[in-house]
This record gives sequence, C-alpha cells and structure tokens, in this order.
Amino acid sequence: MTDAPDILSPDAMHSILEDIETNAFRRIGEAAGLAELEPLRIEYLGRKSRMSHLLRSLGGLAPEDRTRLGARANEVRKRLEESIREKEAALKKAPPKQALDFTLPGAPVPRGAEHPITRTIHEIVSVFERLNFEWVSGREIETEFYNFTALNIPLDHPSRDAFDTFFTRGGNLLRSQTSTVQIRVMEKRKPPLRVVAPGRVYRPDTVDASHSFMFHQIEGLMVDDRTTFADLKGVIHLFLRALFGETSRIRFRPHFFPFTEPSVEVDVSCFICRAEGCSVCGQKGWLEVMGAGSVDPAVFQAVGYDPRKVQGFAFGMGVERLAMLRHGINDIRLFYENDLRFLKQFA
Amino acid sequence: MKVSTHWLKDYVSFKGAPEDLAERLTQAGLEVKGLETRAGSSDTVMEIEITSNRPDWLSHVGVAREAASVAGLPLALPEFKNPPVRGGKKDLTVEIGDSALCPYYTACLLEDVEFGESPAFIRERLLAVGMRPINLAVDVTNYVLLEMGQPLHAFDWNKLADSKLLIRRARDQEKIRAIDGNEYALNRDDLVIATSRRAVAIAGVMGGSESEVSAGTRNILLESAYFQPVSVRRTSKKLGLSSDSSYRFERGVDPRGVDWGRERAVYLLRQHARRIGRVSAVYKSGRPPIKEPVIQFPVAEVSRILGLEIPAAKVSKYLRALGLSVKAASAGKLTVKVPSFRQDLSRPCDLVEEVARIHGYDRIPEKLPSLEPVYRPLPDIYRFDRTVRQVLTGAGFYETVTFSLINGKIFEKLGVSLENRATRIVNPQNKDLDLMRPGLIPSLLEVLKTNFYHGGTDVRIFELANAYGAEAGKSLPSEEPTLAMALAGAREPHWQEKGRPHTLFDLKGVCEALFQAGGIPQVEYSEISDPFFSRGYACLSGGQTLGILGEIAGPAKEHFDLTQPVFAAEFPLSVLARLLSAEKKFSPLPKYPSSYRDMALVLDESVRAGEVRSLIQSLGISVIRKAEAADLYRGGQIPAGKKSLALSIEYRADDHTLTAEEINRVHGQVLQAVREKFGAALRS
Repeated sequence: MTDAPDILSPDAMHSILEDIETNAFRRIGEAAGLAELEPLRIEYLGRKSRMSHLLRSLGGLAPEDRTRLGARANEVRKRLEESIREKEAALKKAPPKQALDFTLPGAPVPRGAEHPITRTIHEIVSVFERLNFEWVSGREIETEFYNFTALNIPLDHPSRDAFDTFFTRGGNLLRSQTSTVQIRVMEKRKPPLRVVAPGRVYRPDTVDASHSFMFHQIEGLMVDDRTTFADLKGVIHLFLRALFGETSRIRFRPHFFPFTEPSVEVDVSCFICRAEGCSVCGQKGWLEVMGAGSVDPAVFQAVGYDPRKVQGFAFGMGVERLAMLRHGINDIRLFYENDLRFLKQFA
Repeated sequence: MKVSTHWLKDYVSFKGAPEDLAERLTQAGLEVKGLETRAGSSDTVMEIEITSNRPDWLSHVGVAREAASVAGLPLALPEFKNPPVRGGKKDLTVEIGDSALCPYYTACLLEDVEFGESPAFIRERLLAVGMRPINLAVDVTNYVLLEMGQPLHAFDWNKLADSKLLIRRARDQEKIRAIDGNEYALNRDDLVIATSRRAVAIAGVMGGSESEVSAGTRNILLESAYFQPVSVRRTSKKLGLSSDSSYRFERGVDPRGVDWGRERAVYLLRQHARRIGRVSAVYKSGRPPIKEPVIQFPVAEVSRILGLEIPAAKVSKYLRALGLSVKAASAGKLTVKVPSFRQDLSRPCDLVEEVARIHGYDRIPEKLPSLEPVYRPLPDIYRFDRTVRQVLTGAGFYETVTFSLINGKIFEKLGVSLENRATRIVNPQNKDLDLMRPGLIPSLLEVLKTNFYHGGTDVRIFELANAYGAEAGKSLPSEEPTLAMALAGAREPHWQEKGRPHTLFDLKGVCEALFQAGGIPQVEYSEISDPFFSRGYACLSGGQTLGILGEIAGPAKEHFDLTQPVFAAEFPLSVLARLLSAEKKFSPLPKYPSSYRDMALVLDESVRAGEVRSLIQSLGISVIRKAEAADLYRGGQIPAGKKSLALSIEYRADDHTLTAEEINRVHGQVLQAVREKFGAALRS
C-alpha cells in the first residue's frame, strides 16, 4: 500500500492506471473467495489506495491533463467497482466447496422414551382430564375390604372367580382390580366426584402371550346427584372415539360386575379390519375394550353414601390390551422384558 | 357353556339363523363367544359365557327362557309328569343331619331297570355339547342337568348295601374315593351323603366310586337335592375338585327345580329303559328353600338411573316377559314378585337392569353429563413425576416397567436380611417371585442383563414405581413411589468421535439435572456403605437424604451376569417432591460481561475438588461467580502422589466491566489462599 506523499505527475498517474488495467482486473478475476477479494478492494479502492491518491491529485493538474486523466481514472474506478461487485456476487452465490460426503450419518442424539404403557395411560387420562376428571392413585397392597367386601363381592361367592388374588403373609392382598380406588376416594371425599385412577393390578394367572400376573388398569368414577346410564354411554363413546378415531362405532352389551348395576361391556368396531372380521377381532368385527356400569347401591352403602341421593357410573379398562391393539403388539410379555429394541420403537 | 340350537328349539320356536339367535342373546347379556357346527350334523352349537349372577342360564331351558323373553315367544317346558306310584320300599330312610348345609334332599328308587345305550337324540345332544354318552342311567342325569340345570346323582342301590341315607358333615380325616378315581380327605366343613357305615358321595360335588352306576346296575337310587352354595363352593375349592354339579350348586340352583329335575329323569328313564320294574314314591327330607321376594318398584327409578323415560305399562311388559309377576300398586309403583329361579333379583336397581336389557342397551340415548366444574390442585408428586420424565427421557433414558414381585435371592446373596423389612406373597404364581420389592435397583439390573444379552451397548433406563415396606401385624405396608435409574455401556460411537464409556459422573450429572429441574438447591454427597454399591453416595439437601447413587458392586453384578461397570441411583419421590420449589424466580441478566481465568494447580491426591471449591466460596469475594474443575491430569511432569487440577474461574461485577488489573488482583488472592490451605503449586 502506498502512502500519499504528494501530488502525482501525469506520467505517474498514467503508469498507475496502466498497472491497474494489466493486474487489478486479472487478480480480481482470480480471487477464490470473499476473503481474498476484500484485500484487493482495499488495495485498489480503499482510502489509502493509489487510485484514491490519484483522484485526489487531479486538482493539481493542468486543465487539459485534468480532463483527460480525470475521465480515464473515473472510468477505470467505475469498472473496478463493477468488477469487484460482480465477483463478490458470484462468490456469494457459489462459495468454493471442500469435498463433503453428506451421506455420512448425523451425530446421534440420545433420545429416551416413556414406556408404551405409560404413554397409553397418559393418552387415556388426558382425554378424561379434558372432561374434568382428576388423576388419582390408590394403594396396590390392599385389604379384603377394599378389594372385595366394599365392592359387593362377598366371600365364598362365585363372583370372586373372576378375581383370583395374591395374598400376603400378613393377611392382606394385592389388588386384583383398580376398582379399589373407587372406595378409597369415596371414603375420603363427598360428591361430585370425577376421577380416573391408573395403576398396577395383580392376578395369579399363568403368563403367556396375552396374560400376565401383573398388568395395568385404569378405573374411572363419576358420582353426583344426576349422572345416568345415558351419560355413561355418552362419555364412554366420546372417549373411545378420541382413542380409536372419530368413525369408531361402539356397542354396549349387558354384562355382570358385582359393583355396578346395570353393568355393561363395551365393544369398539375393529379398526384393523374396519369391522369386516379379522384374526385380531376373532372374525367378529368387534373388539372388547372395557367394562362399565352404574355404581351399585351396595357400593354407595359401603362408603356411607346415601344411594337414594347419589348416583353415577364407574368404568375400567386394561391398559396393556389397549396398547397392544393400538400398536399391533402381539405378546404382552414384551412390555415387561424392557428390551431396548422394543422400547425404542416408541421413542 | 355349550348350548345346542337344535336342543333349544324343543322349548322355543326360534325361526331365524343361529347367527341371529347368537346376536340377540349377546345383546341380552349371554355373550356368545363362538358358533360351531360338528361334522355330519346340522346342529349349531353356541359357546356362551355365562356370568356368575345368572345360574338360571346354566341349562338349555334357562337359555331358551331368555331367548323367548327377548323375542317375545312362548316357552314350552319339557314333559315331566309321571304316573302316581303306590308307595315306597318301607325300610329306606333319608335323613338330613345338617339342614343348614342341605335344606332339601329327595331320592327315588327305581328297581329292576334294564338299560343299555341311550336313544340317539340323547347321545347326539350330549356329544354336541362335549359330553361323552355312557349308558342310559348316567346319560339321563347328565341330560337333565344340561336341560333343566338340576344336578342329579344316581347310586347303585345294591352297592350302597344299606337302607339308611344320612346327609351329614364329614368327620375329620374321613376319606372317600370319588368317581374320578382319586381319594379325598374331608373334614367337618364338608357335607357328605352317607350310609350308616360310610360316606358314599361328597354332597353336590361328586359321588363315590364304590356306589357308582355301571352297566350291570339293576336298582338305581336317584338323588335330587338342594345343597347350600357356600358349602359346596368351599368343599370344591378346598379339594380342587370341580364338577358340572358343583358349578351349579355353588351358584345356586332353582329350589323348585329339585322336584322337576328328578321327575324329568324318572320320566326319561321310564320312556327309554328297555325294562323298568317298580318306581318308588319319593323319599324326602327337609323343604325346598324357595325364596320368591316381592319388590316394591318405583317406576321412576328407571329414568333416574338410565336417563330414559319408559312408561309403566312397558316396564311391566318387559318384566312379565322375563317370567316375573307384576301388579300395579299405587301410582308409579309396581309390585313385582320374583320367581325362584331368579335369585339375583332382590332390589329395585336389579329390576332397572332387567328393563334396560330387554329394552335394549342400544336404545338408551347417549348424553353428555352436565358438569359442575371441580378444581383440585395437582399434588406435588405428580408435578415432579412429569419433571423426572422430561429430564430423563431428554438425557436418553428409557422408561421400563418391571414386575413389583421379585426374587429375593439377590438380597440373601448380598447379606441383606429382609426379615420384617419386606412383604411376601403366600401364593405366588411363580414361586421365585414372592417378594414385594423393597427397592427397584434389582429389577433394573435384570433389565440390563436382558439388554446386554441381546447385544445392547448403551443402556440407560429408569423406572417410576412403588417400593414396598413391611407389614406390621395386619397393618398395610408402606408404598413409596420411587425413581430408580441405571446406566451401563458406552455412548453410541460416531465417525466424528468414539463412544465414550459411561461413568459414575454421567449418572451424577443426570441427578444434578434433576435437582436443578426441581429447583432443589445445594445438594451434597456423602459416602455411604451399601452392599449394592462398591462406591455409594447419599445425596443430601438441608439435612435430608434425597436418595443414593453409586457404582454397582461385583457380587451384585455377578448375580445378574453383568461384567461392565454399572451405575445406579434410587430416590424416593416423596422426599424430592417435598423439596420441589413451587416457582422459579427470575434473576436479571448481567449487564457487564464475565471474564474467565484458568488456574492449573498441582495438589496432593488427597485434596478434593469440592474442598478447593468450598475454600474459594469461603473467601466471600463477590466477583467470583463460579470456580469449577476444568481438567484433571495425572502423570507426565506431575510427581507421583500429586495431581493437576485446572480450575476455570468466572469473574464478573454487577456494576462495571472488570479490568485486567482487578481480575489479576482477585485471581492472586485465590491462588494465595489455595497455596496456604492446600500447599498447592501452580503448574508450570
């Protein structure tokens, strides 16, 4: 870079312009990146450049030299500016490339996941939460009273056959259904009640592809002074549509549960075969998904409610079964083995 | 239960296809699980699931009655009228010794009976429902049981060799060999049919083999009785012996059916035996316990419970169709008399269900309830549960769900006594899994084992579930929602970097993230001794133990076939949730920049990073914002017994940008203090 000592002579100006003509345009053309272009701009057009010096010196020339050299210098400066601008645009458009093999895999991001059972529970509970049901939980080790007596399942009654039970050394038991939570909640609170209670339940079943001695249920309970069986149908239908799709059809079948009267089993139209009949629904077109019913007055009596003043419904469903149906899982044991190759499929 | 549609048509003239019948029965609550047609037969057999409240459906007549009700068709009962007989054989007596367990017992003696194979219709029907025909005497008792639901028993009169039958409680240790060939030891809770010498049948459950009817039997004593359901059930459960008879008795047979069933059997034997001699009058003891309650039924209950108005006339019609007798009492009230075969009906709500069933569940409208909003605050433990899941899944941990029942051997092996410290199951399904887990770490180690066995390399898992305490006497044990985590293996390798093995500090980092997310301040770690850990630490905050973490010890790893380093932690959620800060408070962002200076110290091995950090904190210099270990180095020019710890110190003032001179001065103070306290040297 040149300092600006004094006024340049016409000859000096001439040779500067010559040099620019021969070198500057070539060097600009050769610049391989923006980083190379910027120093050239400073060198040729910067405040301390020879061009600036030249332009500043024009004033000291004789009028005819001034006109001639001035016009030429301005023309060269314009072309330089243009050339740099163009080069800059070109470089910005297509930056020079280092070879990059973009087929190489991206860096792994550790990503955990909730268990499919938990996800299913959360999904189900969130539907009910939108209906102002509250998530509650109850004990797993329970007494005879909460698991049976208060639920209108008398000792030595065949209705117990549906609830084979683990007993503890201390004479307690592992709850065989989450309906125990109905009793726990009603004992503590007064209506109106709207609760859902997910949790583990235990039955001494032989383990196979569709049975386990521990599994999960979600219990629901709605009790006030006006809720009817028609409300039960409405709420359950709404829930099942939310879970299985808006076009799902629902079937309510009479059934028997000791703690509800009337009792109902609920089927949803098979979403796998669109109710045409497949192996999952046993060619029936219907999938049994939950049990429900109006709370039996005997249950209200057991918790000290007046059955003439309160009414409502309860429902229960198996979480594993719903998760298996929705995800097409064919063996319940996969849930408890916790093989990451299984769990990662839900991440 | 298997039900033959051909057989049903004897009692109800259903016209449609078997599929239509199956559909109607299912919609009435008799769930038809399947339909099958046997080869070479036009009969369709339905597999029906019958709920425990409806023993009256455990027969073809019972199912036909329901089909007739829902279809509005008449029901034809089978013929059981026999010609009158002249009198009994004088020396036979029947006596009930315990009328609570057997309120009604009848018997009829049929002499000189010559019988062979049953007629084709009986054989075919028995085969259709899965029962093997044997001979007319046996087949008729089975046929009547399946037809009318009344269990009968036929004794070989000659083999009884006694003319006195007593229905009594068994004696302690009294033995009987039953028709199934097994010998059963009875006690005072069991009821038997006995001669004066010995028990000849377990009442309601199974006859004795000694008096079993065979092809050579000529004199048959036919029993028909009502046994108390609970007693039959207890005996059947205790002996592990269930039969078609016990199944019906324990659910409760129709007390009126005792006489009908016996007469029906006599009728069929008279019709189909090759020859039959004298038929005795009926020997009876006790009375049938007929309960036919009258229910005062306010019709308004229907709309109150169902949410649907059904006129009283229609309600009456539905109930009558079911065989109930209905009278209009006062306005809006019906008086309903329940027949003896419907022992499940005793209350107005039971009748509401019947009305709903016959009306059709599908015809009850769907409504959405009118909700009164209810608000309850979310308990802390739920909030923390969400936080935990977010932090851990974000850190690459997978949630597991493992059994609450575990094998306690690991505790024995590690010398941990669970006596009075855990709850055990007396009837485990798998005898090794009888312990309600006192902690979750063994379950997670089992999951690690599974995953390494399947070739896993980076295993990070957590579980949120209960840990259980001990039962004190009959009181319920504690159930503590607990978080456990475990990790082993190495990070997944990538072409840009190798997969670094997990260390205890990876687990510590996750714990710290958790404390931070929960707003739990100032956690300290103190070394503990725990048989599960080779190095174990307790996390403490404000004097409370939050939980433990550490590296799993050799013996525990060995138990689960694990060879690589394994790290695990366990936290009771209630403690964490209690400390959970409700709100996070905003602090204004710094206006002036921080400066960072490193300080590479050479220290004795025994000096710990935490001590250096505490010392720097104790200087109380406000511009020091953070002093953390940035590097730890041993070997090279560092003498043995020493280590090089590089600290990165952040300096910042709130009111101005610190100058180099200011920082140098403070940095010098820090160095001075570290030198004095720990004899540290600056690494050259």
